[in-house]
Amino acid sequence: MSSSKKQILAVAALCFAAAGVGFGAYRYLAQPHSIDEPGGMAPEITLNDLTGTPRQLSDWRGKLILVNFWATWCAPCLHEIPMLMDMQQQYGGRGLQVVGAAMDEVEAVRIGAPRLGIQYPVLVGDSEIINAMQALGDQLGALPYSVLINANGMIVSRKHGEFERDELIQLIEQNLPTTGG
Amino acid sequence: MLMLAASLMLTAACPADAGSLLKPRDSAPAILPVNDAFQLQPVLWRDSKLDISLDIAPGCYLYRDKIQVEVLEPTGFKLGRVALPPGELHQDEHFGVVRVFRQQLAVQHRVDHPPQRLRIRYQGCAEGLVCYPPQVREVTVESLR
Repeated sequence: MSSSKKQILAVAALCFAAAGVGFGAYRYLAQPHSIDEPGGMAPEITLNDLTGTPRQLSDWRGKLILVNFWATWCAPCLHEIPMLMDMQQQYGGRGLQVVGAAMDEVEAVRIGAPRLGIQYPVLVGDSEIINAMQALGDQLGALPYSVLINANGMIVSRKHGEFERDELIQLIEQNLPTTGG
Repeated sequence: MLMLAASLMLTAACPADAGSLLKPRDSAPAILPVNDAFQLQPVLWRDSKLDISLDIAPGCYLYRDKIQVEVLEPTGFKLGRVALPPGELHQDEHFGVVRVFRQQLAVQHRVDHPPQRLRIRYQGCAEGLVCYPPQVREVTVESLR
């Protein structure tokens, strides 16, 4: 066998070995314990409220924070909001704080939020909301998107689409702060 | 050295695939990324017609009244009103009866000369799951003379 053929075979063998290593690495990274799972600390997020005042998620530190990304043009978001209001009413005294984050024009939310009867804080923005969603783990850019952050600032759940009522109650009950916040 | 070179070849060969494989596991895995839900096809001009089409994934729909086409280049180009198909009626709990497109939106718009660049806007949802923010794409028209 010529020297050049040996070199080609050696390169091919090494490529095959590298492919195996790469596949193994992918399998490891794709396991549930990889970076895509909730469990990390929530980054600091600053967004304007409907008066233009900057608010930070850490303003509600010590509470169980449910950040619900929504928009006035998003039908499933509008469908979910009454249940979130119920949750705020039911669990607010025990340390739950729902925060709405609207990917929308400020004026649309100023009109839309009272019409929906939203009592919890509402933040609003365009690209700022997209950035906040991504910082909180979103990679689909789809609404509704909800992130549950416990009293210690740790992300305990993320979800695209509407919650089922029982599912949300269970999540809240499991993660309420022990002292009520 | 050869191992390093082979590893580099491997990682450079499919960076996009590696990225998609490591996407977050979500509690609703059936939800598609927006570019998979709505796939804008290359915009073609041939036989004095502009072909614009969007493939729409099963279970997804586009709002008819959110679709807009405008010419970016050349400036001052007269495109005329782009007539959309009627679509189908969709009863929305919050927005009432609206017209939507499912499966595919295909538009053929008669125009004697091809524009060079278009801006296309669209917005839609995955039925009963999520809605996607308004999308804006700027595309170069492929002229097939």
